[in-house]
Amino acid sequence: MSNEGSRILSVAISTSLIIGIAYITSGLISLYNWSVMILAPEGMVKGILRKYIPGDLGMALILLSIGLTLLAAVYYKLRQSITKSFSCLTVGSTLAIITMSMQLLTVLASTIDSLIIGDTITVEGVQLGVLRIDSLLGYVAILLFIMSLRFYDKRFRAK
Amino acid sequence: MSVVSDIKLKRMKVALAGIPNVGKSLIFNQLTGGRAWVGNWPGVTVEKKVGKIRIGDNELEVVDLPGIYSLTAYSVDELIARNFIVEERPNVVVCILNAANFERSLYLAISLLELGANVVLDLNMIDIAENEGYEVDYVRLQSILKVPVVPTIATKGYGIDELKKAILSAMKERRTYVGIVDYGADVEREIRRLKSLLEELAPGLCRKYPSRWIAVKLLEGDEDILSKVSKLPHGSRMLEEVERSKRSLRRRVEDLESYITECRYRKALEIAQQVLKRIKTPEVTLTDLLDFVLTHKVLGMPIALSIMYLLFRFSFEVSAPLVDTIDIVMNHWLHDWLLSLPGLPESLKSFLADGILAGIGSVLVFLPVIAFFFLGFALLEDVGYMARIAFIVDKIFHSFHLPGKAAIPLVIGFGCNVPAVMAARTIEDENERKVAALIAPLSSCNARLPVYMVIAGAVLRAYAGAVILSLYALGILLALIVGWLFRKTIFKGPSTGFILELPPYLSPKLSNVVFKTWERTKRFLFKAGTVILLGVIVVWLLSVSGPGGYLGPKALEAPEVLERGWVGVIGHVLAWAFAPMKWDWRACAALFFGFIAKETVVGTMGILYGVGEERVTEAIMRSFTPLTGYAYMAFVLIYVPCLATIAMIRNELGLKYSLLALIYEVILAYFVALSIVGIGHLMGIR
Repeated sequence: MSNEGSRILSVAISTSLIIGIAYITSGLISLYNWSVMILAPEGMVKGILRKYIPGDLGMALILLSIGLTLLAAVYYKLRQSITKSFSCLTVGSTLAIITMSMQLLTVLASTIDSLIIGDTITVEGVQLGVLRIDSLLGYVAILLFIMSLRFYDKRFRAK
Repeated sequence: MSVVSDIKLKRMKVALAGIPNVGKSLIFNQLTGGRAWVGNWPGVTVEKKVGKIRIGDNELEVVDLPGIYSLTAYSVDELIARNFIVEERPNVVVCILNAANFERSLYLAISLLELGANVVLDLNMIDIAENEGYEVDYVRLQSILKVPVVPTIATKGYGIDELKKAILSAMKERRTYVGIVDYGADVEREIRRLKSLLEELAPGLCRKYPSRWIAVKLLEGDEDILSKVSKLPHGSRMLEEVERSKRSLRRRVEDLESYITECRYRKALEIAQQVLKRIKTPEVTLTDLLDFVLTHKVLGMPIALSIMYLLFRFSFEVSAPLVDTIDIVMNHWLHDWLLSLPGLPESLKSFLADGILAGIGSVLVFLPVIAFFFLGFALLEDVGYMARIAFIVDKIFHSFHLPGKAAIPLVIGFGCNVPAVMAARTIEDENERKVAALIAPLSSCNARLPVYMVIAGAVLRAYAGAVILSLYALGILLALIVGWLFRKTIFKGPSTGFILELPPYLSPKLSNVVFKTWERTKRFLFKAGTVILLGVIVVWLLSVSGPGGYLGPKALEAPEVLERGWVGVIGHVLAWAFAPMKWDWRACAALFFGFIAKETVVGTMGILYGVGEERVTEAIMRSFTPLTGYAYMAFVLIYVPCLATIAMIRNELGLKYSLLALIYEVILAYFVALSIVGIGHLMGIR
């Protein structure tokens, strides 16, 4: 592997470790918030950062899946399985970007819907949608995706 | 070419054959300019499709056969393809080979040549083979097989004109090569002996099939051919001779059937070695890279569930503006406009506004959700991800004694249960095929979606998304349990292995995705304009009349009058049967009409709950608790999906099994709904 390829992968893996942990933590918080909503009597337990990490089983599942895939990239790199590590990196970052895009599309759709039915649109509402954890982490994952593309070019296409 | 030969050509037939996912449907579309279903996963062509091909002034009939690996009589698809080639005698059979999976494709080509078909070979996906570092020497292949070979890239339309020319020239000059495989001196001696006996004792059969092919099939123990021979006047004598041959060969060949198959594979391998050239070190393909994670034993399943969840978010949340637009137009503007029309009798106004518009409108508002779902589904299909889902769940299916291929009907069932029942055809084992077809309706089709959305949206609000996803999971879980029960009782037998061709990941083709979305959505629209329209008219008529006579349109404004209508009678009788679930009589009446098609449930609710000025959602909120609402949705999920699905089961398996499906689904639905309510009460849930 060229020096540049090796450098790109090292940076990508370090970023992957940080974002992976962030995804896992957010997923667990979302799961906690969901449990609180379901199990605790109304208003008794507030939950953690519910505005940005809503309690939603589906969202928790996605966040945990992305987190696990990104951490798997780190695991395979430590075991010197470059191809497997790269696979995890690519799939994890792609899924993160799709999730982020879906959230942004939802915010857009919800804004248009409010216009149609005559509801008021608040800046805070849009802001919360755009800054929700799945979109926030997705923005960072774009960098990871670009790095994985560059690594693919250096490592696999060069042959 | 003379005018006479042109006229003859116009009556000619071309069949397209190939292994699953080789691009047959795409080539069919390229040749005919038609719109056959194209999907990047095996089993897309579940029935043969017919189109026309124009070559100059000639118009030929093209038939797209189901994807098959060989010409044995083990699976319905293989039998359909084989019988078509034998019975219909197409003038040319275009066998599409996958250049990137060459040996397996070649096995089918060899089988077709043995059958005496006039074969043209289409070497497709040469670009993918090149990416993988291979090149197929098609000129050499042509000289070995003695049939024309045309390289193509169907996705780009490359080589299609050459293929058309090759078809036309093959029409004029028929080439066959039945003796392509050498089965060794001993077997060949017996083949020759049986062949001459067949020509003497079964001349009629030999006119239909090549006598050498029948002899090989008899030695292979092909059930279809054995049964055909046994019915002939000298059938028993012929079968005795076959047994004699088998006995004499048994000393040299232990398992004759496997030996014959091995000989064909050996031939395919031998040809492949002669024509395959490695041109470069293969790149690690994107497919390899993605498949490591997407089919990973730990990561594969959570990623698959995440993708499904994203698909639902896309369907429900992104389509919301369109849903509300249709709702405003249909249920407010049009409704109010119809009621304000001057000069129309009140009963007609009520029929149009509270009957037809309320019923159809309550279904049509879900059109965007369904269209968005189909759009996402088509994208996943085209990319090639759906085949991976079948692969991931294979292990789970095996632990329930079900074949992995049973996953394909269940996944197709998310769209519509009718093609899902048909998709079970690809399963070779008869018992497994029957079970797969019987459990396919438990997969939650799109017609159920409007019911979930109305009920979950009204009574489970913030949890609606998760609840709807849980219903899809419940459907699959029940399908596995019911399948396991069937396999342990009525349809016993060993589980067969699962061979699924994992297609390469491809960029989705926009025209293909849009076409599939439109075709599937169109079916929903068509249903809304026919079955559901008829259903809501019947519901309206049964609402404004009752045992006491005509009640008038006021019945739809006053609940106490509506209860006296026929619909009230039906609803109250069913409400008695569903008393433990505490469902409102109107909800029970909607279930009754849901037997025709599930969309009718919402259409009926639109009429019955839309009484007076009360909005449907508010009425549902008062009629259901979260618990009874969930039990109701589970019942809708499980009981008979629609009459069309039952008709398809009858078509595929017979009347007995369609009745079995009908009965087990209703009983299971009742039991599950009752259990949900019972367990919920025990847990203190309302």
